[in-house]
Amino acid sequence: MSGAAFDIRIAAGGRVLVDTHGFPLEEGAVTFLFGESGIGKSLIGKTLFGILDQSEFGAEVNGEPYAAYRTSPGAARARAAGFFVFQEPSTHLNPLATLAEQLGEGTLRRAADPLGAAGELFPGGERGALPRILPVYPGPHRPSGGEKQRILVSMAFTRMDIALASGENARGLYVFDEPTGSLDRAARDRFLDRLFARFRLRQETILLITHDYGMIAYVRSRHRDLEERFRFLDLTVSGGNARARPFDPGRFLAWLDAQRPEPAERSHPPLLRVESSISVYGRTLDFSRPGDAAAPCTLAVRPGELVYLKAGSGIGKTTVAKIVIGLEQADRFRIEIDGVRLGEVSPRRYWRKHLWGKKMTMAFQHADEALNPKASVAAALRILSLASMRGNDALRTALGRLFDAAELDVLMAKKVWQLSGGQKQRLNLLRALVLGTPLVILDEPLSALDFESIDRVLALLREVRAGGRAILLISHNEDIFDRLVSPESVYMLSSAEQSAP
Amino acid sequence: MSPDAPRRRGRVSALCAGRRDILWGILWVGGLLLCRFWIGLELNAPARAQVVDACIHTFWGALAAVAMALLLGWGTAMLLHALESGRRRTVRLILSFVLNLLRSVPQIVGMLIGYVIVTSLTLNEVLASEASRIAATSAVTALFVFQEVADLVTARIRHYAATEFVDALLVCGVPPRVIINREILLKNSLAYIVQKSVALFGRAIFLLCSIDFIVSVGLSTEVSLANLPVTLGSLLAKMDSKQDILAIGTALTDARVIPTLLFEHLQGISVAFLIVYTLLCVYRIAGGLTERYRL
Amino acid sequence: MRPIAGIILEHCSAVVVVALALLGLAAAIRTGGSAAPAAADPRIARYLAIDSLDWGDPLDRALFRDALGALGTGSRRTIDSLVRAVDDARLSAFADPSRKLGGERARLDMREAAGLLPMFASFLLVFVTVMALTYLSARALALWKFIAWKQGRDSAFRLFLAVLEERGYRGIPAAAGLLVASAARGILALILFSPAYVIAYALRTSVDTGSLLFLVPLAVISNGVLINQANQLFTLLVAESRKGYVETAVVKGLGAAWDWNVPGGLRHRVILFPSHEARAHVFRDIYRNARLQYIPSLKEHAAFVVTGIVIIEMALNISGHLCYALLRHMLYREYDIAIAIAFAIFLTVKVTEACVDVWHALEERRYANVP
Repeated sequence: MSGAAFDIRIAAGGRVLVDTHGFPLEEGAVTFLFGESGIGKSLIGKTLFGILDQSEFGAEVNGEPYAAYRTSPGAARARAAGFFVFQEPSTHLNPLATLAEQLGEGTLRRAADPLGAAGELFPGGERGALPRILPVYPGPHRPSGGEKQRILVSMAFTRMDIALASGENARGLYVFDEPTGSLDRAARDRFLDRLFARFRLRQETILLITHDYGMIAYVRSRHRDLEERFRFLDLTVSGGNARARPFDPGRFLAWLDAQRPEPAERSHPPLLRVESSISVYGRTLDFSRPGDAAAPCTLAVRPGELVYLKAGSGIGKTTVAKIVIGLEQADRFRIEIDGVRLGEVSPRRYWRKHLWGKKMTMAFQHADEALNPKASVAAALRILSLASMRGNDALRTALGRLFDAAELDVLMAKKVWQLSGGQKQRLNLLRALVLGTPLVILDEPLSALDFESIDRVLALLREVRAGGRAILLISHNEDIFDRLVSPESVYMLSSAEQSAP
Repeated sequence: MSPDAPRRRGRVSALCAGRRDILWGILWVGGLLLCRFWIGLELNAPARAQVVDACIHTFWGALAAVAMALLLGWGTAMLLHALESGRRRTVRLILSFVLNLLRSVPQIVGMLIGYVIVTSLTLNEVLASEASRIAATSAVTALFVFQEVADLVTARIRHYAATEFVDALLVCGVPPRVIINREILLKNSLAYIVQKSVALFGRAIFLLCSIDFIVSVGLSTEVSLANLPVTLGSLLAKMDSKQDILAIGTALTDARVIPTLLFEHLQGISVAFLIVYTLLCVYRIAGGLTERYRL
Repeated sequence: MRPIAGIILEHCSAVVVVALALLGLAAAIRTGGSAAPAAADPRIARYLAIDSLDWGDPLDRALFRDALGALGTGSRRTIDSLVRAVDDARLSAFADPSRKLGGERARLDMREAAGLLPMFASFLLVFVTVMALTYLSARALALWKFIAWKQGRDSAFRLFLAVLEERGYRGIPAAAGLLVASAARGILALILFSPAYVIAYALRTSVDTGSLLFLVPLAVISNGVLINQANQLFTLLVAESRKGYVETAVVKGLGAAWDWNVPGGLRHRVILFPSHEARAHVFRDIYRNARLQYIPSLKEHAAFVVTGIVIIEMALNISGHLCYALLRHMLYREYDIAIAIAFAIFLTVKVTEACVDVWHALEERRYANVP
């Protein structure tokens, strides 16, 4: 595989999923591929790597059948010497093999220390998390999503180390598909540092597929020496064709620099109060202010305020959100919503009757799961049974806040499964916001979105706040929200194991 | 053949790929029509009428069993879900216990006991009409297959409950019954329910024919247990039909018997063909649905 | 994850509950049965006394109905009721134990129980053998089908159609072998789906259908048991092969070729010994994950196997076998013995279910990270 531009066409079930011309992938360079979810970035990555499932998809590369491309010497060498880190860590680990076994099987067995790369991504050494999770068979709850993602990434690093140690001639193709989706900023930065440390020693061909535009700021500041080897691409879809265009990182950085926090009016009493010392799953969760972890405090959200709840991955931000919204039962918790005090003895019936869809709502992280794939876009909003959503005009007005006016008629009739990931996420957010509840909880609202959509969503959130509604936000996009949220509205969540009585 | 080698497939085959359920549905109906045509030509009128009646009774009985199983299964799953959501663990435990007990009863043994009860009701003239007797035997069948429907409905609810689907709709104020019945079952599980119904149709036919055969064969032909409607199973148990089936075995060793199978031994051969061919086609249709919708 | 003690307790409770219920039922039947038999319906006594009337002859029965109708005895419903009463009286007489050799209705006592024990032992032997053979055969069939699917091999009939499309009728001689293979596959499918009694009656004059050597293979291949079990495992294998961890394994360089006897491919031995073969191939991970989910389905499989054996023994009237004895005792209204036999069959299924549940719990426990 030499530096080249690829014409890639992928179809399934009679439908063309990707049709792109001149996709550039330069050998010995790091290509950052941005773009909203669901428009074909992963498919392109799998096609180029040579692992596209031919029983499901038909593909052509540079006008040739996929089988010919796949078995070509260049592609086969790049694949044999490379690695692919897949997007969903929870499903990409074998539940019937320990993590230690999986780190050292196949070609990874050739490494001098198959566990060494993993150790770089888990701080804390022997007392850290890694020794505890190595003998574990991966399940739904253990290890955490972030831990699984780091394990998968470390497999790629191990492969790089093997190539380094053996001095292999062939340059491998390394594809990282959303490698930091489950990682907090510190873990993400650690991943990038270790990746580029290896890249400095041996310039493999790297394709890094991501929504995390915040990486741009970090690599610009910490790895400027490698800037010549960085390529930034943005995949967009227009008229059914996907186009990879150069993305100007400066544009994002300028936009980021221009973001300013809008402090909320603090004279109103809080709409939501959540006391610290929430007991759940054998742990105690506490809120604190940044830089003052030793002093637990009460989380308060006022009308018109955007409160940002931060924590490392796996600490329990989503769990707290679900306790507040009444979907999870904690052993002990105290909250106050609009003057009504609730706790662990409060019946769930109360949330259903008085709160859900009336005083509070939540937009979940995974739009794929949260929306009904068989429903049309219009039906996805009409299910709310809002009088204001009955007519098509009302629907168009609502959709128009996050979608282009020109596409609305077609969009309304489309089924959810036909939408791209970014479109699903925008619909997911809209569904929560059109309810008009005084309090909205947003879990990773910017996931799966491209740069333009992020801007639109943030504008919509400003509108929502301006209307006096409160937002409780959970997000790993710290680079963006640290700029947008004023410090007095930021809370840290920490977790401590409960000691046995 | 490695994944890189192209598959050799003609247009017809490519057309059929992914539509095997429709193909086998057509083959099944075609086979029934062909059989009807042939017995119309070669079988005497009374015997032909018996075969047709038996076929109709069996298929209606199986359809009724499937309908009852769907209703019963859905109701059971809803009840279990309501008990779990309402945290009534003890009641749920008791209900699950009883259902597991029922599950452990071999279907044919349970149906045999059910048939004893149906017979008693028939003899005491509680079940006076043919339709009521078919419905009663279908109800007995449904009692031993409905749990597959309950399991399916429960599994589909659990599948969506494990994702953010249910929670996302709940916090938007959508009532749980709408989420379960419309969003999960109607919009996202219809293919599963149809596939299960098809599979149960085949199972019901198998059980009805088997139990009728056993009951008919186990008794003297001088006395009828009750005036239960004739079905394919009971028809196969008649002496004439058994003689016809014996001819198949004879044909394996004596080729001269082969030409006579479709002429002189037609009643038994037709009944056996209808049972076996229906079971095969229904299985293939269910498999085709699984393949088409990737269930 | 259920504790093993809980599993055993649940199954034992079920056995106790059913045992008590059946004991109560048997006791009630005994008490009811010891009452004096009901007197014959006086309406029909005179009709039963007509010597020249053969109640087994459809013509005689039709003439009787017409005669009653002509004499204006009553409406059609009344005549139907009369005929049913006659049938009931004849059935009671037929099942009257005083007409049987021995003179009395048999009761469940030590002698009767001792007579049932060898039949139960034979039933268990057949059941265990059929379960084992069906499990192994279904597994082999499922693995063969799965690997053929991964190899992308089309069926003989599809290949035949492809030849016809390419070459028209001129292709038939060349593709004759494909047609024969398709026909053979079709006949095999019909056999596998046939109810046991169809196969058994077809071969009745050629083989001893009462011998275990016939009974066991018949129970394995008929009633759709084998094909349904194989299909269940096949479905699980296909679902597992589509999961993400398989992609990761492929990328790590584990064998992913599905051809036979090629580097990175599979050997035929994997069909019979899937757990021991293909250690460095993705097949092993797929099989192990599918197998774990397949284990609970063996409970359902046990109930189907028992259903199949019951059908065979009853339908073929195999004397000296447990299920035929069940039918006979039900017919002769010796319900306490029938209940005991039914309980024995239920116990067989329950013990099998308990064993499968415990096996599954132990397997799950291995991977549940329990300290």
